Amino acid sequence: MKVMTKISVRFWRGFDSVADPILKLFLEIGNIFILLGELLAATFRILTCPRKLRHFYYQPIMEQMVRVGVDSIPVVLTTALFTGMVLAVQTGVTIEAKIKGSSMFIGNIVNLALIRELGPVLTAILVTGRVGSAMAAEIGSMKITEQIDALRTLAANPVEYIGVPRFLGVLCMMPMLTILADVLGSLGGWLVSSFHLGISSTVYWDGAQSTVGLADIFSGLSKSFFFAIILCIFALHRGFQTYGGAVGVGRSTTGAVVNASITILIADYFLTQLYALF
Amino acid sequence: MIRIVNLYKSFGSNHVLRGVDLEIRKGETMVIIGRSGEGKSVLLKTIVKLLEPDHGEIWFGGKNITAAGEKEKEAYLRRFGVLFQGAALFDSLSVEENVSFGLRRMKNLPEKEIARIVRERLAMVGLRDIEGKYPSELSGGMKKRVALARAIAMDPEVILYDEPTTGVDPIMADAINDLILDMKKKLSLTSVAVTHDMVSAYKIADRMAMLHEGRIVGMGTPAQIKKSRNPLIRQFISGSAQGPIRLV
Ligand SMILES: Nc1ncnc2c1ncn2[C@@H]1O[C@H](COP(=O)(O)OP(=O)(O)OP(=O)(O)O)[C@@H](O)[C@H]1O
Ligand SMILES: [Mg+2]
Repeated sequence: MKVMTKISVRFWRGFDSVADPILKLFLEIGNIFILLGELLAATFRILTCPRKLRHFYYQPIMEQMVRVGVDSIPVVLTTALFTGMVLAVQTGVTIEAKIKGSSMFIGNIVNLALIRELGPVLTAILVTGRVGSAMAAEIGSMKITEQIDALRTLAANPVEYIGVPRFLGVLCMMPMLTILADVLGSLGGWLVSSFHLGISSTVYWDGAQSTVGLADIFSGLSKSFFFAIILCIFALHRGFQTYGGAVGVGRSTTGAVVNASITILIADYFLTQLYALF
Repeated sequence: MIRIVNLYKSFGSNHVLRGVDLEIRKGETMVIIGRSGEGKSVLLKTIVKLLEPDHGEIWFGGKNITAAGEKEKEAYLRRFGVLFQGAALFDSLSVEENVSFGLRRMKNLPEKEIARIVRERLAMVGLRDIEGKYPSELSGGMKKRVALARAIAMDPEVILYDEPTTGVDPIMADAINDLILDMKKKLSLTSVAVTHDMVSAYKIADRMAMLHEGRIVGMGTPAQIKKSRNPLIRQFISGSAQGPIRLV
C-alpha cells in the first residue's frame, strides 16, 4: 500500500512536470483571448461614449496613427518596391529560362502575388518589427515603473487608455500601408519589366488587370486587418505581463515580436485556405 | 476605517503576506515598518486592489470590499490617493497633465478650474512654475512631490504613501514629512505610510506597525515602539545586524 502511494505520488509528480508547460500554454492562450475580448469591448465603449469623454482619446489616437502609419511609410515603401522588382526579375528571368514565354505573364504573377500575399504579409511583419516592439517595450517599462498601477488607481482602465489608441492606430494604418505597399510593389515590377526586361507596359498592366479581381484585393486587405489584431494583442499581452526590470522589458519586446510574427504567418496560411473555400 | 483581516498573498512559492491583521482608524497616520522585501508594497497594493489577496478580507467603513462588485469597487478606489514607491509619473505627460489626470477624467470641470487646482496642489508640495515640464526633466525628489500632488488632486479620504522619503536628501525628506503632517491637518486625511526611514516614521506616525515574515509582529504609538521589549522591533529600530532577524 505504502509503495503504491509512493509510486502514484511519483507518477503524479512526473505528470505534473509534463503537464505544467502544457497547462501554462493553455493558460496563456486563454489570457490572450480574454485580453482580446477586453480590448474589443473597450474599443467599442470608447467609440460609443459621449462626445465629452471621447475628446480625451482623440489626441492619443492621432498620435498613434502618425507613429504607426506615417512613420512606417519609408520602410514599407522601400521594402515593397524592391520586393516588386525582385519578383519581376524572378518571373522574367529565372522562370523564363525554365518555362519559355512565362515573362508574358509577368504582370499577372507579380501583381497577384503582391496583392494577395506579399503586400499584407510583408507590411505586417515590418510593422510588427517597428511598432509591435516599441509598443511592448513602452508598455513594459510603464508596467515596471508602476505607471500601469498608477493608471488604475486614477480610475483609468489600462486596456482602454493604453491599448485602444494603439489598437485603433494599427487597425486603421495597417490596411493603408498595405495598399501603399501593393502600389509600390506593382510599380517596382513594372520598372524592372519595362526597363530591364523590355516588356511593353501594355502587356504588364493588361496582365495585372486581367488577373487581379476584387476578390483578391478583398482577400489581401482583410488579411491585413487580422494581422493588425494579432500584432496588437501580442504586443499588449507581453507588455502588460512584463516583470523583472530592464531585462524583463527586453524579454517582452522580443517575445511580442517573435510571437506576433509567427502567428501572423500561421494565420496567413489558414486565412488563405479559408478564402479558397469561397 | 480600514480593517485588514487575516490577509494572505503569495507569488508562486513566495509566501509574502501570511495572515496580516491591521486596523487603521479614521484620521490617523499608520506607519508600517519592515525590512526590504517583506511585502510592504504588496500590502499597500492589496489595499487598493492592484493585487488580489489569496485569502482574507479588507473592510472599509463597514463594507467588505474584497467581495464588492465592480461599481462598488470603483467608488471605493476613488476615495484613495496613492503615492508609489518610484513616483510612477506618466512620462509621456507633462507635470500639469499628470496632476490633472484624475480630475479631467472623472470630474467635469472647466479648464480654468483645473489649472487652479493643479497650481494649488503643486504649491502645497512646494513646487511652482513647472506645469509644462516632463517627468524626465525633474529630479527624484521633485518627481516624488509631483506624484504627491497628483495623489491629493482628487481630494482623497485615504492616502497611501509608499516610502515617501526614500531617495531624497535629508532636508527634502524632512520637508516631505512636514508636508504629510500638514496635509493630514488641512485635508483631514487618513494615511497609511510604508517606510524604513525611522526618523520619518517617528515624526509622522500616530501609530506604527511592524511587518515581519508576512505578519504584523508589533504595533503601538511611536513612544510605545521606542520602548518596546519585542526583540524583533528592538533590532529593527536600532538598525542592528545582530539579533533575531536573520539577514538571509
Ligand atoms: N507582482 C509581483 N510578482 C511576483 N512577485 C512579487 C510581485 N510584487 C512583489 N513581489 C515579491 O513580493 C515580495 C515583497 O515585495 P515588496 O515590494 O512588497 O517588498 P517591500 O517590503 O515593499 O520592500 P522595499 O522596502 O524594498 O520596497 C518580494 O519578494 C517580491 O519579489
Ligand atoms: Mg516597497
